[in-house]
Amino acid sequence: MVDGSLLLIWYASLAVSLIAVGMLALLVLVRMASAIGSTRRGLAKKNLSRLLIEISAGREIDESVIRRLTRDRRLAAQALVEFSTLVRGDELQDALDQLKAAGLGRRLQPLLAHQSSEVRVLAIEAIGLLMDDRNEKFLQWVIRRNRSLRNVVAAARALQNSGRKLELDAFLADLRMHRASAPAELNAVLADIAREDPERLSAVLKDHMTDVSVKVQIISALGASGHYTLVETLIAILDSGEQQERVAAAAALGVLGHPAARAALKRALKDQDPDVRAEAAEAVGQIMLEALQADLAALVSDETWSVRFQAARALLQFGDSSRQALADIIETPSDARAVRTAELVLAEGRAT
Amino acid sequence: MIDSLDPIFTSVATMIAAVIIATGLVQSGLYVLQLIVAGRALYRDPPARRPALLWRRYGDLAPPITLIAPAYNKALTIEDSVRSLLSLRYPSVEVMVVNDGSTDDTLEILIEAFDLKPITRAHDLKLQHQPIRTLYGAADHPHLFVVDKANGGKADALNAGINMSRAPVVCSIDADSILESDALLRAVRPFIDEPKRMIAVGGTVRLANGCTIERGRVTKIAPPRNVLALFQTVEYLRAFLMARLAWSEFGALTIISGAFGLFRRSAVIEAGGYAHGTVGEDMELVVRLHRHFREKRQDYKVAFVPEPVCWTEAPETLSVLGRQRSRWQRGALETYFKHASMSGNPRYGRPGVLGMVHVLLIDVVGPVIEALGYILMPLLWLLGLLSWAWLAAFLALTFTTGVAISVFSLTLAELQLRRFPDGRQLALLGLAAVFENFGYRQLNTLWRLQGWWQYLRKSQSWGEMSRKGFSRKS
Repeated sequence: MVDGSLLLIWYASLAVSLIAVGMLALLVLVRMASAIGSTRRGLAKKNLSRLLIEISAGREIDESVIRRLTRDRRLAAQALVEFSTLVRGDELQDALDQLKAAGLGRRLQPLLAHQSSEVRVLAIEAIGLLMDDRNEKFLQWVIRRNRSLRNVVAAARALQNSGRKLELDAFLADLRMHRASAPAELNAVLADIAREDPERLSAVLKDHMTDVSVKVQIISALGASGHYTLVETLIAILDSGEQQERVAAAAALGVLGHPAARAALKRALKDQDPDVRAEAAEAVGQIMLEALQADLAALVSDETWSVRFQAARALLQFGDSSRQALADIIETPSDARAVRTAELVLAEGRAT
Repeated sequence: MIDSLDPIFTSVATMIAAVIIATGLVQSGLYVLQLIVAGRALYRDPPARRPALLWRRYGDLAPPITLIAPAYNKALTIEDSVRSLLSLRYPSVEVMVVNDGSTDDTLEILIEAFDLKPITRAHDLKLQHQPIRTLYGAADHPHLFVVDKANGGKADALNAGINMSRAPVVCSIDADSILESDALLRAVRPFIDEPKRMIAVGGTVRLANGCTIERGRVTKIAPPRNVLALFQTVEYLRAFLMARLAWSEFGALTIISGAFGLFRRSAVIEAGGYAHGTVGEDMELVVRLHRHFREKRQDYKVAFVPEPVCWTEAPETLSVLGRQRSRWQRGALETYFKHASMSGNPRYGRPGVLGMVHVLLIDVVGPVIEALGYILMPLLWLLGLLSWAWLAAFLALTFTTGVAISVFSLTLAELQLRRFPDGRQLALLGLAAVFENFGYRQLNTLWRLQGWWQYLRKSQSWGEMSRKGFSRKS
């Protein structure tokens, strides 16, 4: 019995290793053969590239040929997106028009059911390039269907890039629903929305269901929108939001650059959380709130390095008077950490 | 008397053989599982072929990165290495070379080649390291910094670089490694996809022995001519493409190579930076990151990306390779026993239950059991205490399964990544995948036992790692 099991191990491993060696030998043969002719996939790729080059050069290609060469949907989506990074202007547009007319966009839609998230995003990008009314509807449907935040973000980005209107209600509903960590690509989508419709975007922040990673990105987008009407919204978050939201709000106020944030930033400089204090100090420097010089000088002896560093750097923004404040810290040493920070920042300021 | 003891001897021999076979079966099972998982991951997320596609997607989203390259007595290669790092294609990268008290001309060569001048940069001393003597900058290369500090070892140099860095992501690399020009953009993807959770990402390291290198770039890929380096090429493929990818998929990756790893700077500082007093500082940091974030119950992720490639030079002599391997073994043992309380402990989730138990099986117990097998199995069979079937099973698990795993790894690389330019090279590597199991693998076991011995004697030496340097055209 035992001997039988042991011999089974022997035979099984021998069989597996023979299979492995056989597979590799086959691959080597395929590779050697491919040096003479191309493999099927390689050939398909070559043909696709040739097709894209030809139609971008203005040659009319029969639709049936396009359909035949784009039969491998995944390969077609990849080739198209790669092609769009290499060709620009009318040449790209001519190629896209022919592919659209051949119905490639619709034929790529089933890729949304692919198990690979990479392939799904690739398909959305390719469909976005082939934008027409039907593909627009499809991408809006992707957003409404609301299964993967990555897909939703990719679809929104594709719509925005092609100048189509995003169904904001559905998109914002998605942002409220998703619990997954938000991809950084969301920043680009939110930046566009924040410029066009900041009020509706800021309304998402009031929803307690929205994930904090999404909220942080919304706050950053609002800060970069340039709408001064958002100062009050950001101040409210800085005063009462969660830690990550307050950090983002302080940074956003700095980017927005409105002096009405002075009182709120003065409070934030004394926040319990060091990240909030550091961001607030940087924001004070960005907005050039000289009235808060003394508060910044006090922070140069903060217990946290990032706060000390940002406060000292912000002081450098105000010119000679605040440089003098840093020099005073060095000359009247009471706190070794403050002296070291002031010395380093002043020396770096001189060098730059 | 002897006759009466025969059944006892036989029983003891059978028990020993059973332990050896059972360990071999578990190890082989783990390898097969890793192969399947890695194959699935590679099929699911095939690498983006063109750098242009990466730029389109991630060019405007990529976070700034500081490349930290510790250098100790690298006069032979340092200029080429730094030029190679400066030519990397990434939206925002600063290169920080840390001269760790070199006793050769490393610093002088850098000063002359890049016209370096002393500069000041405000930085905190959050992580401990030996004193920094001077920080240098270059007017012609505003993103290049050279930190000259007292010698303190690789971990110490990396800590100094992290303190000095201001980017949210730091990348640790060996100063004599070569990164592919788009490697950073590929490796940073997990930080873009999951910006809040991602704390560390490992990339693939490949061997440049045999390749043609011009001006710090790999211009032609070819297998090494040296047989030891050839075996190591297969070994690296197996380790990176199969094992690390699979453990990343399991969510239990316990090592990111010191030759190429990206870390969220704030996470490394929070966990206390690289540890002094260990020769396996790369593995120790990853395990400590797991431990830290699990204990704080914070959501986090450690990932491995198979596409970004860092080229490094493998030892081509037995003595240097032996020193390297015993040092790696010591590093694994130091890390395991330092964090042994994580092993099998559900509090530490998959890294504890899967990752650390894997380290126990493969790195701690593995070499001892394997060495015992090589000695005892044939001996017990010769003494007539074991049947032929036991020996056959041992040989199958040691040699034929080893061949299968190595060859399947190579097959996986060929099917999904196609990294070898032609069929002849693939065939040569296929032969290496077969023959590495006969002699080379056993040597490795011996070196790992030496590592065990050094660990027990508490040796802290790195051993000399002489390299030829990349500047030659191979």
